[in-house]
Amino acid sequence: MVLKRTPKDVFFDVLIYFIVALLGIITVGPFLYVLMVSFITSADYKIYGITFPKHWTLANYKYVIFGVDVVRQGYVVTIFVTVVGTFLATLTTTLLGFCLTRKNMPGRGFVNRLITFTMFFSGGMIPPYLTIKYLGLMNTIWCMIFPLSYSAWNTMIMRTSISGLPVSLEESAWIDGATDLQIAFRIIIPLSKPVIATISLFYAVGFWNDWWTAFLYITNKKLYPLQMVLKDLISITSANMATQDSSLAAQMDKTNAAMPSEVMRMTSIVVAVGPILAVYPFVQKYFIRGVLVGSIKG
Amino acid sequence: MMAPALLLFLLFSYLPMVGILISFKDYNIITGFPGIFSSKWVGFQWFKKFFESYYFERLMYNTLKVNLLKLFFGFPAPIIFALLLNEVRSKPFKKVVQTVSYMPHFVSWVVVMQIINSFLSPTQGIINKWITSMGGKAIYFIAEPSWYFPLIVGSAVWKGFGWGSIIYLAAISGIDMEMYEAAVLDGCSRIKQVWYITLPSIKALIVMMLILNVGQLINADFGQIFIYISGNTKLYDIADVIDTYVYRIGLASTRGMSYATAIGLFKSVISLILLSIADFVSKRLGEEGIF
Repeated sequence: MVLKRTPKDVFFDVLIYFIVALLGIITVGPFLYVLMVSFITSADYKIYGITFPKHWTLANYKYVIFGVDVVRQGYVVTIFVTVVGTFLATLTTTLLGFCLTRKNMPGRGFVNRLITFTMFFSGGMIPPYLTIKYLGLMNTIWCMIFPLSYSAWNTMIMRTSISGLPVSLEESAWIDGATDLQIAFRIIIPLSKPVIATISLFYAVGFWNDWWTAFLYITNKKLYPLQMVLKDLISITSANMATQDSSLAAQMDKTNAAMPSEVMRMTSIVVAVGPILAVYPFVQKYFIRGVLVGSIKG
Repeated sequence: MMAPALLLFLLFSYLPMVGILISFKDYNIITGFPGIFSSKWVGFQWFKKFFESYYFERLMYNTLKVNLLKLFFGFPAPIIFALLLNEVRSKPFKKVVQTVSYMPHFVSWVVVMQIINSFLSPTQGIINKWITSMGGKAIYFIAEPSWYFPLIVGSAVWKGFGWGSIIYLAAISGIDMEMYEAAVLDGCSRIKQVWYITLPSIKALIVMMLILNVGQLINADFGQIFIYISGNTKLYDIADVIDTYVYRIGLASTRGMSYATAIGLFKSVISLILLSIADFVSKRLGEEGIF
């Protein structure tokens, strides 16, 4: 039996659509604004300030990516850290997750507890700083990679996922005389591709957006990742917003009158977040699955 | 095989715990690594100092306040969003909005703060341009204490509600459709359906998430707050949280490492206690605990 839609139903629908659309606009609006400003020509900016672009240009991008050394350097550092870090993190986490599913592993419960404990307790802010310092990793590219190359959360996702695979697969391989290593690489890993993709995406985003490790441990500007360069570049502290003067942006403004600082800031943002925002819609399902698997067990 | 991963855990999560020692000593960084072990023991001196300090109440108050506010507004937001999305009939529309709602989650606070500044800048921001065009005076939003909490909480909600709704949407999609069909036959309105079917069905999840959040009550989002208040001492009174203070004392100056570490240890212990309480309450309510 099909019920007729009452006016109340229709009203409800319209209201829902309206609110949801509004929420959508609130989330995407600011990004569209940033994108829009990045296309304003400097000539137009001088006359009209920030408006919908009267003329469109890619000159800002050319400048920010190729003309500003620190940005280019930041890109290099960030790409290196992200690629190497994600690879290292995914590999080690996958293997650890695999091992934790081996029922014949001694001390399995202990290792499990060891890992989950790190989610509840840490040394704080200073002890890690001292650790990095005394391990000799200060001001190296590795201090931006190692501390983020492991995650109890991702390990649990891996472990849960692998333990969900049918045991019969490994059993037949085991009967045929395969070692654990072979079972891992020939059977389990190929079957776990979606989960591996998921955690590597989580790691990648973490590496890409990280500014915290650089902020604490790096003083060599050549090693600044993109987010750190951005932070410096736009110097968004509420204190010096009064002058909007102390940032690198203003400096560049003086040396290159062709590049107004607000426009450059927006372009820098697009350059810094563009890759992630462009990619994530297509790999959503991995993220979503990861959140669900992790939360159930977490 | 698992050695590399375990090594990372041990080196970067457990090895630092050795450094906690210095919260009971008078450590000077000049003494280097051996200094961690050779420095003089001072027992609970730093903890006493913190509890008696002028800043203790303010920091505790600020930390709890900002987190409670974020909890109050930020906790229901993903749930409400999930409920709203669930009522949307058009699948494509729902998918698009859902995808778009994750955007803020994928950018760092550095970027978010800059976007906020772009909108709210006293000289260039469009909000102020609009205000001045209507004859008003430009408001320096980011520097004003009265705007601090709305902005901090608001931006946190903006950044998190889409991503946070993932888990609720998943739970809602698992609800048995027969219940809705029966309700419709009985003449139940859409709103009543949400109240009597949808919400109770995800009650367990909501309780679980709430408890997890409460366990985090003392861990303010350092990144966000730090970037926001950096250098603006006018805001310290209301905005300074334990972590930002620890950073200033422990890393931005040279003599306060032991003190800062002690405060950090205090915070970690409180966090552990909060989580244990949360776990206990959760189990008492019949849900699964965290431990």
